[in-house]
Amino acid sequence: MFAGTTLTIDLSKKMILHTPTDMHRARMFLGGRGASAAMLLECIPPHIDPLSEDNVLILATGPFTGTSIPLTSRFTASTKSPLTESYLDSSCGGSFGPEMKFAGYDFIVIRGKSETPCYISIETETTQILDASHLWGKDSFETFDILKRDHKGKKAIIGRAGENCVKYACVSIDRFRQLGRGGVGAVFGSKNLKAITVRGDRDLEIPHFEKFWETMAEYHDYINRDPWTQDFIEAGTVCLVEMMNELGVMPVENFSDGSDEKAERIDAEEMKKYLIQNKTCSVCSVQCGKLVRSKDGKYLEGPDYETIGLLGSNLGIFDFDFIIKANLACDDFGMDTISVGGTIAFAMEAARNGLLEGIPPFGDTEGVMSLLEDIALRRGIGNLLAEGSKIASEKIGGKDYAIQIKGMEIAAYDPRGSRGMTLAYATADRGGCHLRGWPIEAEMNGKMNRFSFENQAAHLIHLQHCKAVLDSLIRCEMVDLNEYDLKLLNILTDWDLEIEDLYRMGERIYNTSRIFIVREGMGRKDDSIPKKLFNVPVRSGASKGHIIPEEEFNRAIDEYYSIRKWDKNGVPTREKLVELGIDSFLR
Amino acid sequence: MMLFFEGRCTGCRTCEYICSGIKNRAFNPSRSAIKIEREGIVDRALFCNQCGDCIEVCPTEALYREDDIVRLNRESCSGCRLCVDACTIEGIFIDKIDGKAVKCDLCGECVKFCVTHALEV
Repeated sequence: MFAGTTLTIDLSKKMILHTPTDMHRARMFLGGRGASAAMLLECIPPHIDPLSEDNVLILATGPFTGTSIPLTSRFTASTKSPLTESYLDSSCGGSFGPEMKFAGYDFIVIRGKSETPCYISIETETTQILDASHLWGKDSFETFDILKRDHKGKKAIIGRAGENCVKYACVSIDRFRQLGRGGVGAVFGSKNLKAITVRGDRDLEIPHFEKFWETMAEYHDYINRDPWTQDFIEAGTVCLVEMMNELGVMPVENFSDGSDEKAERIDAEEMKKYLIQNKTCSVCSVQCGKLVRSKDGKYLEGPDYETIGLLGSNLGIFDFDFIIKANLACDDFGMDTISVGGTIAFAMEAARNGLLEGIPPFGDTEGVMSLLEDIALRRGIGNLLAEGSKIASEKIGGKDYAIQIKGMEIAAYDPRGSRGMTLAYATADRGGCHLRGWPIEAEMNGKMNRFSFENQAAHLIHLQHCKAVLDSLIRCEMVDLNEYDLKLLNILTDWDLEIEDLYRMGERIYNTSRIFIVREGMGRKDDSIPKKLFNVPVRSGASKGHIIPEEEFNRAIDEYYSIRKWDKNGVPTREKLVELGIDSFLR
Repeated sequence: MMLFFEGRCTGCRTCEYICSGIKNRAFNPSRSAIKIEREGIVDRALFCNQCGDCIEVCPTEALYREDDIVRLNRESCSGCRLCVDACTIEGIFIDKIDGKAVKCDLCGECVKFCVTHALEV
């Protein structure tokens, strides 16, 4: 179900344009990540500077957004990433997405660059570009409190990290949700765009009401019975700390080790000492949001597993109270906790090997806290680290310590203990990301062998297609794509799709973002993992002694390309693109 | 009577979606007869407690009591807002689409979807 209108805002020309949403595109790519990938290819020429006025930012909802279908409050932001200089989409919960739909918009396209700081106010009838000089220089929480006085509805805000174009700056939605990865906040900052507020009160009419209502209600029951739902209600993604530590894939000291006996200081049981209450995004019963209170009385919805891994164990820190405070600082400055954690871990290892000075050692909580501020403000050594670990390592050396793929720091699963995640990171369209496919789940429940590449490529490709569909419907990945999604999509759109058609859409979306990547000059050389993971074995724990055998990895990539009908360099063949109906993108 | 347990509410606002959906066959939380408001870290539900104070101020007799439920005849409602002003618990609203009052009639649909039992009848 679509609102029917796309809003385009040109910040250079101060122009606001309404156009009908392209329904042919929706039928090919759904909404969200899929439709935005196609739009990016159409409106961004290759090799532009992502922090110039040439970059375009697309905020997108999908056919499920704004309905009572469970887990559907997310929206996506797609753009060219300043961190990877390539394709990016980032998604976020809360209720900004539904509010966009109630304001009447499927997509919001932001072009150009404002000469002076501005923010955008979107309401059902009016869109305005307003002066933000009173907000510039303020961090996210204070900006939220000021905007709240004049604007009801939902807010997307950058802090000082975004203003300073820290390459992995994020956008905060209200207080506790973020468009986290890849530097969407830096793109906001480069456009002098401080915030977007959105509020709507239009009806989204429900087609085939009785059929919809009955199926939707059954779906709520189905979600509530899912075993993962129970785990997340209990502990959120923090439940993964114990699981990953036992598997030996939790990052410790810049991916030197995969487990640590001190993990119990940052696990779910420890989190419960700080827990006030479960919180959620709109229309969600999974309740992965954990409202916690730090010892000095500050509140946070989080931290999630990835943040605990990257701002905690990977920095040699096993202190839950510190992780809450560091997470809050990142949210307030507006920085991705994964990339900033990965970059600081790189700097710590580089310093240990004599490449950098003035960097705190592993385990130094006060040092990390002050370094977070230096990075957000691009002060001293923070200016170098604000570029991310890839660029920093190219400038000062220590490439082997930069645990990144395509420029994006990887998430909290050590590839050496999971061949599935190795392949998932290497082939993720936006870089070292764990959210394009999460094969470690099948490895945990014994369906796949975590120390073998056998069948990993085919398994991962299916997961990547399912995830591409979820990100385009848009539905949160906490529960796998299933028959209810298909039924409800058909009811809402009057389409007559089979589940195979959805998988095909997922494949089309994955190939579309691949065209963007290839067009930027990336290919096989970039579908790889940091050398350290090929050469240095895990120190201890259940993955002790393991590396990624490089030849086996290369064969797995060959197999992956072959199944996808991509050539030896990872370029989709014309035959495949014709089959998917997207050969027109090859100009 | 419907009860709200503040400590159980996760702020998911499913009740707003369900209420606007079942009443209007359209999703639009701004038209819901129950509203979740977040102040700081606390989510608070606003809805009618069926006290009936609004009945006396209604100039068109659109509001009336039927057993334990205060009902609203929307055809008679003039949208004068006197009921909104008279309500001490912010439990009755004005629908932005048609300008008439909106209030909870204890249909119980939202309660069915409230997984944490923050709402109970």
